[in-house]
Amino acid sequence: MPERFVEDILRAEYFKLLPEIRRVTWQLETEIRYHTSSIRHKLRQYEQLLIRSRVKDCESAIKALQRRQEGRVFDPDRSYSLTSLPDLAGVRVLIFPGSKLKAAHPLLRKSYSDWEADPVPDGAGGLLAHKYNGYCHDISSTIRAEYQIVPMLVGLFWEVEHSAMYKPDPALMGIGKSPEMNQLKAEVESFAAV
Amino acid sequence: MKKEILHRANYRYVFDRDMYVNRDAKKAFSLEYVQDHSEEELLQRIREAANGSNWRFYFNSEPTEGVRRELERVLG
Repeated sequence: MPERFVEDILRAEYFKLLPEIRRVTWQLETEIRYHTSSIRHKLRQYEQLLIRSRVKDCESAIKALQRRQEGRVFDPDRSYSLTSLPDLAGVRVLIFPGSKLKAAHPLLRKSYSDWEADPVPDGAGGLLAHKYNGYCHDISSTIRAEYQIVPMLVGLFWEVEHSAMYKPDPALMGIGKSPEMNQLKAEVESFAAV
Repeated sequence: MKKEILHRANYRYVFDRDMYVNRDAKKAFSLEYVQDHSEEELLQRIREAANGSNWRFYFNSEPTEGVRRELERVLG
């Protein structure tokens, strides 16, 4: 039998896990819609609360696991599992204005009190977004899910930045880590967080 | 400052490995190692002699034989 690379083994694992990742994503999205309904029903005309979910795609999951290894290479003599990732299933709650975060955060925290906090700092000692990961125990004890509560402008900026920086055109490879880009990113995030 | 030290010693940042690499000296520092060690320590490691024709990797966790093989393959 020909030698299989770690990446090939992880791809096979991913497609075995995929139906379960989808179920966890649907479950978490549905639960969060339910838990935040009391806020959504009272929104003023200019206020918004959007809920977006995603299943982490196969190559992103493998790359995320690879980024956790020093030197960003897999050890061919070791075994890895994508289930060690905290966000195979993900839900993002986007809120405008940002001050509404104060209402949504405790509601969800109460429902997911055993989930692990992984807050996103804003670079000035404050908090940019709330992030938690854990298990939807009724559905899966294997797939970790993540939910984020993010000011809408920050979340929309992340969406643009993600497609430009993490899956870049070869000509832009590495630009996301340049000091100039970090400076610009910090400026946008501090503006959007207000 | 650490970046400047490495740059002056001809270490180039390899984006897809997050490592500072000097192919002539056959030495490489992981990003984690650079972040977690002082400038003085970094200078000492830069001054250390190369390991002949073998690569020398400075990691927080000593790379396994498998990781060494993979890195040597991708770094050339």
